[in-house]
Amino acid sequence: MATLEELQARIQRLDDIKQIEQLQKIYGYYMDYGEWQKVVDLFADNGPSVEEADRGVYKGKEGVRRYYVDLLGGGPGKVPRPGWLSIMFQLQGVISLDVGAATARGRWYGMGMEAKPTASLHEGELRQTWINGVYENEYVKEDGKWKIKTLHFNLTFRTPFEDGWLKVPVVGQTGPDSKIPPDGPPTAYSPYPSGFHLPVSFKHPITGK
Amino acid sequence: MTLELLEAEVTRLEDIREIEDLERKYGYYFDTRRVRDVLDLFSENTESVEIESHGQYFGKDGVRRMYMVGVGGEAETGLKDVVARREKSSGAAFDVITQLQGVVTIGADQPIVGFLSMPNPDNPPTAFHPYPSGYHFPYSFPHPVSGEVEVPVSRYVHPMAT
Repeated sequence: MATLEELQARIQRLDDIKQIEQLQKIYGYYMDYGEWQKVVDLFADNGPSVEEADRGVYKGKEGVRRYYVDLLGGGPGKVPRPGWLSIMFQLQGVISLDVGAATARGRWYGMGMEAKPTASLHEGELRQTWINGVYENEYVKEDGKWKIKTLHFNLTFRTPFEDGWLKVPVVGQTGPDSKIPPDGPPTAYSPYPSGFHLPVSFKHPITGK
Repeated sequence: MTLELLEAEVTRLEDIREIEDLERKYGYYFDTRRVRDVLDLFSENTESVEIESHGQYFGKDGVRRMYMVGVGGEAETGLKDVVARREKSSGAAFDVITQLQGVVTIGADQPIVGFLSMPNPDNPPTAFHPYPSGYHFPYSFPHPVSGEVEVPVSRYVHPMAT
């Protein structure tokens, strides 16, 4: 029979996984509501980074803030225009706790429906789009709380509702922004139909490889 | 950690698991119109149920009226009555049902599938502001890092607000 200490460790593991899942799901809600500062506050204080699609890597807490608040949000306090819509489901999360359980990795699907301008981030006609991609994120426990250490959303397709991914795999991705530039180039941007698969962070549950 | 604290922690984790299952099962039952099973998921002390623009229904009886009568199409006064009413008229509601489902099944323990008009609610809708209003449904959780409970930022302004 398991000892009290062993049981305690097993519960801690379950609790850690649950908290990380909550963190990622809440990230999705804040993103969809354009709550950019709240998103930034989900990130670790020490050495976080974010990379989405072809926008490049934003490093450090200040880089994360520049990405969400300045680039995606259009600046502090800017209210999304009428019709702007983001519904990005955070799906199929697989959390892998590292040895020592102070860091973890998670793979998720991001799948959603949007109404956003595609010619630029904030100007131009709104387009209805389907979006799909994979997250490979790292989490860290800082001051007893799980936070996002690195977030990487690798875009598979972002297609107009009227067209579909076979016809138009990607709209609205114009590379790293020149006014609010990233700290590093995109590391793995290779959307459909390239066949690229972002490497998985988890081990095979049967073979262990 | 004592055994008592350990048990409390296990119970908490199991509770969350069961609540997540409950919500997922609600989805499956609702999607297959198993309205009796939906009703049985609700507490005998249900406070209220509210879907879309149909308004608020109070108590367990409100749940019954919402799902059994409204969604399931069971008559307030019994199945025979609603069948008779439908036979008397060419009924737009009946046409909707046949278009949606293809087949209409009526049985003692199987409510009519499809939508009928909803029974009168106990209260008007409290937060029906669909796209593109920009309305954001309030969060039920605090920020996981800052711990603050905040109303979502929204550009939606209630028409009655000054």
